[in-house]
Amino acid sequence: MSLLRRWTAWVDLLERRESATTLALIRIAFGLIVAGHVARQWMGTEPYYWYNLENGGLRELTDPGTLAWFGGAVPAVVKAFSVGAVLAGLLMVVGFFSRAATFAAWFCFSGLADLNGHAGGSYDELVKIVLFLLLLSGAGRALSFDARGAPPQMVSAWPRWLIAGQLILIYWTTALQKLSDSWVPGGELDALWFILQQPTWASVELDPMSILPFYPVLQLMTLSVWLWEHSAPLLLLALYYRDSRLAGGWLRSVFNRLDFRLYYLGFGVLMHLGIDLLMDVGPFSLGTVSMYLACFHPDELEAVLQRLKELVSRRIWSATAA
Amino acid sequence: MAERLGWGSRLLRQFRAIFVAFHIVAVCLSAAPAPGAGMNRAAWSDPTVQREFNAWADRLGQDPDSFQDRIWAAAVRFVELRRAVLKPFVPYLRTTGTEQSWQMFVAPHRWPTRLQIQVSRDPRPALSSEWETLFEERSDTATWKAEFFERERMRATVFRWGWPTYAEAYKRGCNALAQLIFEEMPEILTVRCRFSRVQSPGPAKLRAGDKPVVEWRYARVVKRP
Repeated sequence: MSLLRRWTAWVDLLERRESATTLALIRIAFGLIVAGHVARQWMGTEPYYWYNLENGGLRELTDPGTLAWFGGAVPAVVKAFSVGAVLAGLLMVVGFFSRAATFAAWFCFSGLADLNGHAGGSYDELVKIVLFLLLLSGAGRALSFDARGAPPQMVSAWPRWLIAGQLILIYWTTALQKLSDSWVPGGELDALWFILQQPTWASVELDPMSILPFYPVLQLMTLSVWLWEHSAPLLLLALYYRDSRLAGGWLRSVFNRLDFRLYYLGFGVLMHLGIDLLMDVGPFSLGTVSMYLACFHPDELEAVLQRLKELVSRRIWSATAA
Repeated sequence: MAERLGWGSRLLRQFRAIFVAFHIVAVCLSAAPAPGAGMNRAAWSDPTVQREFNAWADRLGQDPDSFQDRIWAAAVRFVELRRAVLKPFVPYLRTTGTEQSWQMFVAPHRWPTRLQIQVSRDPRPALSSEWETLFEERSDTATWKAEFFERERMRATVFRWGWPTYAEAYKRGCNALAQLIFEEMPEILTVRCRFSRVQSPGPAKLRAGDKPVVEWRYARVVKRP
């Protein structure tokens, strides 16, 4: 195929439209994440890590970023950005002025997260990236106050593809960096054994003696996680095969018959549940698992939502009848 | 028959295709593995890092010292190349907040540190009995502002303070915490921050019943102004 034809095919591909349900669910999840996470920073003690040194901050913030436009990283401005992020997050959840709310959430959250790179983690990048992609999407055109009473609307599919691609990129590039002798096959496979003993991230401090009987299990889990993250490009292949299911080929047929996505993402859900049970790594797990939704066509999620709705109404009906 | 598009729509389609392609290239290049804070030779002296180098040198049949020198030289060249390739994309990545950094648990920390904050009513405490422990990571008794220190953002901050690369940030952070204590407790005249470091036991050490050795480091004393 000539370069021009390839480009035309690419332009046409980005014309694809679909229902906004998947993006709307991601919008709701990230609205909750932003509102919940930023509100938590104010519970009990003020977020000193976001203040300038002169205001009791922990670090000299040489570049207050967008906060500089409003007076810098002083408590009043940090508080205003936090209130903005929480309110915008809640508006994203209900889908009220969805695009403006997503912009406000992205602007306020980015402003806060960029203040002090020492006081953050990969969840900051994750949230900022997804908010930016949602901002470009029609995520407010379903399951929202904005779309109430309106007939179902179609939106561009490419923002959903970019979110799914971002998820794959995260898992794959984190795997490429796990070069430690504790992770790689042929090494000691004791990465999880030592990570669970690290006090910084442990949600509950584990006595090493209590986990000693599970050492071989932890070795197996270490190997599984390393292999699973490295195989992230297979998820991309699975999504492509799913999308082109009518084309032939035995590999495509195997991937689709198995629905490889469910196995790959199912392992991910279990892994993130384990992380959240044993460690405190911020909203990273919740964010990545919410991105899993992007791997599903809106028709699939609408069918699930419909089944859930029927189940709930059947329950309510039988409870009322009883 | 396909609907004929006006020039505005055709232009928009082309612009969108260019934008999405540009975004994909930018984020993929930005996500390429990078040593990040690891590009600091002082941090390489940490036993966790040394253990990794020695394990790989051993596996590849190399002399550990020259292996580290070669890795450093290769890393410097790689970082320069990465910077040059990323340069045209940096303004976009920064403005949109789509910079990628996915170094997560690349290697387990085998010598983890714990922050301890102590206070004294004495302006020049000499004896250990003159110090009272106000906060210690994961302690059930020394719990001053424990809820604050348990937030993921504070955990990340304190984790970094335990590395030599972040010595200046630790110094400022300890000063700031001392000011909070002085404001809250008028009777306190001196504050000390320090880190304990203990090697996490492997299964063999644990079975052998080896007692962990606590090493105190980076003690920093702040006096009431």
